[in-house]
Amino acid sequence: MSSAATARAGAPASPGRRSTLRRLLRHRSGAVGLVLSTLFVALAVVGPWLAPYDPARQDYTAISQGISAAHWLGTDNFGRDILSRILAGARYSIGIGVSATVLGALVGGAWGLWSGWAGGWLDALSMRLVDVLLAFPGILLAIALITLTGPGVGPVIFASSIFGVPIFARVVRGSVLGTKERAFVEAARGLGAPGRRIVLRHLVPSIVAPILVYASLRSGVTLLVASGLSFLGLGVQPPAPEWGAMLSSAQLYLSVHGIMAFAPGVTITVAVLAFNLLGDGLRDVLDPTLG
Amino acid sequence: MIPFLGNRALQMVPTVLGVMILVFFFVRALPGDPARLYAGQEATLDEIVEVRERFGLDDSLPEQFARYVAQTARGDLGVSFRANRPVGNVLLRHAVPTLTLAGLAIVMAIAAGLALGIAAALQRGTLSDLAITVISILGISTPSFFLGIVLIWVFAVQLGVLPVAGATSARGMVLPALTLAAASTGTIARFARSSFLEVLGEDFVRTAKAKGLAATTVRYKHVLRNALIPVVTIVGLQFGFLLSGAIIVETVFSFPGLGWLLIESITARDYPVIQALLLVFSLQFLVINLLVDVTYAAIDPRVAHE
Repeated sequence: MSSAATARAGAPASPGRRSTLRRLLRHRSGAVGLVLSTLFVALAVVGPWLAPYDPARQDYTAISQGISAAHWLGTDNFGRDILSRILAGARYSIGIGVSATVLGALVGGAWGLWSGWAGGWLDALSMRLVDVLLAFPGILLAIALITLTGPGVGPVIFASSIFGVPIFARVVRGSVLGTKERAFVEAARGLGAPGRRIVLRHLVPSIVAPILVYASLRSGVTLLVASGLSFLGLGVQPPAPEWGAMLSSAQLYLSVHGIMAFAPGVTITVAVLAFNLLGDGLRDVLDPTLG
Repeated sequence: MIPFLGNRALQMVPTVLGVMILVFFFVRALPGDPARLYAGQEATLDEIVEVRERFGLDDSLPEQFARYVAQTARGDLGVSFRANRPVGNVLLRHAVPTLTLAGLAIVMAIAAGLALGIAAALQRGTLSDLAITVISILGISTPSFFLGIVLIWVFAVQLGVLPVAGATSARGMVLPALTLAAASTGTIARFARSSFLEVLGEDFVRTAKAKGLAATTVRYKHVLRNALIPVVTIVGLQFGFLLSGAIIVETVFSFPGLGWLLIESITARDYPVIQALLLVFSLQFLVINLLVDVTYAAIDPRVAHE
């Protein structure tokens, strides 16, 4: 009985969600992006268990081997199985990219919500701060932060989330300002609804779509910046099998052992491509007016 | 036009001040005593005290900040620890290669991006449209550090026709410029395609066709001019991104520009140079945005009157 009631109570929300998914699946490249990025996120969870070898185990009898039945993507200069390192590294690369995007969306979203709701000089001041943050090219802000904190997984997540914050803040503020003027919000206010209720019931739902679109559009860029930091030696440090760090170590052996660079490089590219396709698809489906 | 320019430049002032405050606090937020950092790792206690006095590090923060602004306005950016020379000199020497590289890359990106975008729009729905769309999104999605490595592998390792890295000669610039241009090419192509498709569907294009103008006349006189207006914005913004994108590309190719200098300075803990580079990179971004706005207003006078 209670489960039937819950199902009915949830019913009004689900058709919208289901039709978004259905429309996304009908959007050809969006569907490809959805499937691929879901696979990558799943890989971040189960990747280490799928790895046929211990990604850290060095085998000096099998150094710099090419593609073979035993090692599908060959081995690196320490004799470590490259496929195992890529699978295990998904936890670093995808995990960092996704959590940095989510962190940036949450902080920036809260900022924009607060700023748009507060209005007045507080809003003006906070948007000035957004302008200042946007004046720093993303990767530069990330590099500056890493200089302060030193390298590592936590700092990379923090550093690659920070440049998304002002973007989310601006987008969410814009949509809050739009919704604030709508008749149903005026009505709720006129009926004496407390501010907290208006924010939670009326404003928060209105920012879900833009946040979703921007988060998926940004996750590709965030992945590029995060793996770029590790490539520069400022992010996740070797021997951790982060893809950017793997590519960086492979650079030395490029002339003799190309697969060491191509395996992580192609993987990052496909992952970024997947998130970009998903973002473009979601934008087309949910709100074509968003950048 | 002039009041518009002045107005926009004035609007930039608080942002520039905000950027300077952030950069100022960046150095103060570094772990450790700034005097010790400035004096270098092998400094004696006396030297540290001297640095503290010379840089006025015992003064209040507002006083220090005012001095920082005044010095920066005079072009005094401090002294590089590593080179033991004024930071301004060091930056100038590395700015030329970066600007050349970015200039080359933006020319490539505009030419290729526009050509691809227009071709795709004119052949909408065909196989070549699809191919161009795929190329564009691949250009945007491929990390520059991987594309650079692929190009080195193909042209330097396999074919041996271009130098691997480290050269600022014309031949040495080809691969870094191509790498840097790829993402912008993709972005410009996508943008040009949608802008063209939009203009192609406008009433005045239909009218021009209906009154019997030749297809090429319509294409170049009516469509091209109007479709290019929004593309200007994206090109300007791309140039700003190119300069910061150079940080990674220059590192891949050991190309001695500003981006390479930044990474080297971080490794060497050369804080005055890092501080100056943070300022320079963000100011160039702001100036380019201003120039984009002005260009936009010049092309489309409606903007300046808003």
